[in-house]
Amino acid sequence: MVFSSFEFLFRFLPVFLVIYYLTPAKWKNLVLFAASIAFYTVGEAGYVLLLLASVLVNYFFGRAMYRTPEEGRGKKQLLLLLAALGYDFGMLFFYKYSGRADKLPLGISFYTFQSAAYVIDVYRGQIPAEKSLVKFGTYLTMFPQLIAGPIINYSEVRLKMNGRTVTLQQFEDGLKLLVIGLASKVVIADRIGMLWNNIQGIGFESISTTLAWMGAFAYSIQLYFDFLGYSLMAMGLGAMLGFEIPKNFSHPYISKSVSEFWRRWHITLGRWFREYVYIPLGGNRKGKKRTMCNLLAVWALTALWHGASGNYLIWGAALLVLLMAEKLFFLPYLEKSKVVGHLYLLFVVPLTWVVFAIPEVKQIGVYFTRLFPFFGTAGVINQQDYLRYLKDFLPLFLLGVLFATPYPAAFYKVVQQKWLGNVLIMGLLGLSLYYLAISTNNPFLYFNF
Amino acid sequence: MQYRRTIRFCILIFRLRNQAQKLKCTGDNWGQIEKREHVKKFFKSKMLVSILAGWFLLSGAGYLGKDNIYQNYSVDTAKSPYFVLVFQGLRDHVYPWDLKWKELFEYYPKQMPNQVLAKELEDMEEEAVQNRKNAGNKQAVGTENMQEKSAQEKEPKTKTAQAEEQQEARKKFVTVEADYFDDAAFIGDSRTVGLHDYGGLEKTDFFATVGMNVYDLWTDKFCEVDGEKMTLEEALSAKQYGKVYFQIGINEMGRGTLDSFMEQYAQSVEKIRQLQPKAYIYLQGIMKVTTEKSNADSIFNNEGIQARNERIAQLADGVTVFYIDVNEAVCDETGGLRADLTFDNLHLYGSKYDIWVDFLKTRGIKDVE
Repeated sequence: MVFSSFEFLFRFLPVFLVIYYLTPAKWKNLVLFAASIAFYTVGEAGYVLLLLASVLVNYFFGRAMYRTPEEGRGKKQLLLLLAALGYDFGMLFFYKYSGRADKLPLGISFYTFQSAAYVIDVYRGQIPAEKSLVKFGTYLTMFPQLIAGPIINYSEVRLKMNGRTVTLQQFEDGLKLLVIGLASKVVIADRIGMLWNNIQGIGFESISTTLAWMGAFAYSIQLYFDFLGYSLMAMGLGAMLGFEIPKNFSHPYISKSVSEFWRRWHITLGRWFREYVYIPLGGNRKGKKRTMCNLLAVWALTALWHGASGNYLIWGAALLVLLMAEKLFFLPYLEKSKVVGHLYLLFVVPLTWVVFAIPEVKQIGVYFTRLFPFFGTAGVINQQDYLRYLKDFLPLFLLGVLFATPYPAAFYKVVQQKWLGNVLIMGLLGLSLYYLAISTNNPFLYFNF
Repeated sequence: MQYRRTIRFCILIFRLRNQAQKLKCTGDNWGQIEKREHVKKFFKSKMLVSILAGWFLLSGAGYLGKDNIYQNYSVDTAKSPYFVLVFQGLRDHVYPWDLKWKELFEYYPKQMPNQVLAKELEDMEEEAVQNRKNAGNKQAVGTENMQEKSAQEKEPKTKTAQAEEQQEARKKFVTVEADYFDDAAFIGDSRTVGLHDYGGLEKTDFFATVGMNVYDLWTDKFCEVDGEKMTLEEALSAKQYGKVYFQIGINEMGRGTLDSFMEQYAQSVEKIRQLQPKAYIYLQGIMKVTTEKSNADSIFNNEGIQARNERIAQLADGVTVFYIDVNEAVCDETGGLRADLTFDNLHLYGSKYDIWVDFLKTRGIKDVE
C-alpha cells in the first residue's frame, strides 16, 4: 500500500487517525505499532514475521547489552553488539544477494539501518536501551517511514515515545506536507516518468542523441520528486502523529559539486554512513590517504546498499571517482565559481543516474553511445523522435526545474499561514487526486498505446 | 506577622498563576484535553474541514452518477472512494452538473426479475453505443451493410471459407519491394505510430496517434496533411491511395462488447471503402501482447485479441478487402508477442519494426491471370 493511493489516503489513514486520536495517551504507541504491522501486512504479508523478528532480536540485544557510562562496557558488550549487527546485516545481505532481489522484503534496507543505528547507539551508551517492547517496536516499524525512510535515529524519537502532543497547528502543517509530497510524486514524478518508460519501450539503440539527453534529465527529475515526495509524505504523517521526522532532501540540484549534492540528497542515509562508518574509521582527520580509503569504504557500502546488480557498483565507483577528484583537486574552484559548478553538476549527476537506472551493464554502454554519438551510429534511429516528446513533456520539465530550486518553497513559506496557502494546498490536492484517479483505472497511463 | 502573610499570599498567587499558565499551555494539546474537545479542535482545522467537505460532496456526486453519467466508468469502492468517478469523468469533460436528474428519479427497477433487468440493461447499453455512433458518424449507415453483417454472424464459417476461395480465385499474395508502400496509407494507434517512426517507410502516409480507437476514429482531428490537423475523413478525401492498411482495436478492449466493437469496426471499414474506392484495404489483425502480460491481465489479453481478430478476418472479401496478421511474424510458440521484441509487452522495440515491414512485403497483392 503506497501513500499515493486512494486505499491509503481515503481508507487506511482516516480510520487510523480517528482511532489514534481517540485512544488515550498511554495506548497511542500500541495503536501505532499495531497499525504499522497492519500496514506492512497489506503490502507484504510474507515478510511481516521477519520484521517482527527484527524488532524482537534488536530489542533483546539492546537490553542485554546496555551498561551506563559509569559501569563501562566490556568484551561481552562488544560480542553482543557484533551478534546483533551480524543478525541485522546478515538478513539484509541474505535477501539482497541470495538471487531473490526481485522479492526483497519491503523496507528491509531502511529498518535494518535503523535497528543497526539503535544497537550501536546503545552500545556506545548514547541512549539507554528501551525497556518497553511496544515503544521500540513502534520506533522500528512506524508506518510513515517504514518503507522508504527517512532513516530516523532512536534518539530523535525516544522522548516522543513517552508521550507526545499534537497541536492543531502541527496537525495542519503535517497535512499540508502530506499534500505537497503527494503532489510531488503524482503530479511531477509519475508523469515525467512516462518519458523514461517510453524510451525503454523504443529501445536505447534506437533513440536520437537529443532524446537520450532528455531521458537522462527526465529520469533525474523523476527520481528526485518521487523520493522527495515520499519523504515529505513521511514527514507530514509524522507531524500529524506528533513526531518530528528529519528532512531527507535540501534542494540537491542547486549544488555546485557532487560532494555538496550528496550532502543535500538522501540526507538521512548520508548521515548514517557518516556517523556509523566514515567517522568511526577516522573520517578526514588521519591524512589524505586514510580519507580516501574511508571514502572508498563508504561508497562501496552505499553502492551495495542500493542493490546487488552490476550497475550499482559502476554507479558507486563513478561517484567515488568524482568525489575523490573533487576532494583532491577542484573542489575549491567549484565552490568559488558562479556558473561552472552548476553546469558541471547538472552534466555529471544525470549521467550517474542513467547508470543507476539501467540494470543491464551492456545496455548502459548502449545508452552512453547514444548520449555521446562519437563513434557513429548503427541501427534504426528516428532523428526527429524528440520533437513529439518535447511537446508532451516540456511543461513537466519546466515544473521540475522550477520546483528543484528553493524559490517555490520560499514563496510558500510566506503564504503558508494565509488563505492563499490553504487555497494552493487544496488546489494541489485536487490536481493530485485527479491524476491519481485517471491512472487507477487506466493502467496504461504509462504505456498508453 | 502582617509582612509574612503578605509574602505567603503573594507566593500563593504566584503558584496559582503558574498553574494556570501551565494549563493554558497544555490546553492546546490534544493529549491532555477531553475527548469532546478533540472533535471541536479538529473541525477548527480549515484544511481538514475543506478536505472532508470535498470528499463528502464529490463522493455524493459520484454515487448519484454511478449508474447515470458515470456508467461507463468503474470504481473499486473497497479501495477507492466514489469521487474517483468524478475525476475520471472530468478527464472526458463529463461534469457533475451534467447529471441527468430525471433519469435518476424515473428509473426504479422495482422487484424486476433478473432476466428482464439484464435485458433492459443490454438495451440501454446498445442505445448508448448507438448514440455515440450517431454522434461520431454524421453519415447514416446503410441498412444493406447491417444486413450483410447479420448474415455473416449467422454463418461465419462458410462466409470465411467463401472469402478464402474468392481470394484464391482472383488475387494472391506475392512478395514485393519497398516501393509497394509508396501509394499506401496506414491508419492505426501507437503501434502504427511506431511503424511510422521506425519502419523506414518514408513516402508512405500515416494517420495514427497514441491511444486511437475505433470510437474516436472519425471524430478526432489526429491526421496531419501538409502540416494541418484534420479528421480521418478529410485526410482520406484529400488523396486517393493504392492501399490502405488498418490496424486498430486494442485500446478499446475495456470498453463495450465484442459485438459493439465489431459493429463500429465494420462501419469504419465500409467508410474507408467509400472514401477510397480504388484502394486495396488491408485489415491487419491486432498485434498480440506477450504471454506474460496476457496471463496477468484480465482485459488486455491474447484471448480477447484472438476473438477480435477472428471477427475482423470475416470482414475480408478477398477482392478489395484483405485480412493479414502480423502475429505470424512476431509471436512465439506460446502464441504471444516474443518477449525479446518488446520492453513493455505491447510495443515493438524501435529496431524491431523491420520484422513488421518485412512481413508486409510478403503480402503484396497481385491479380491472378
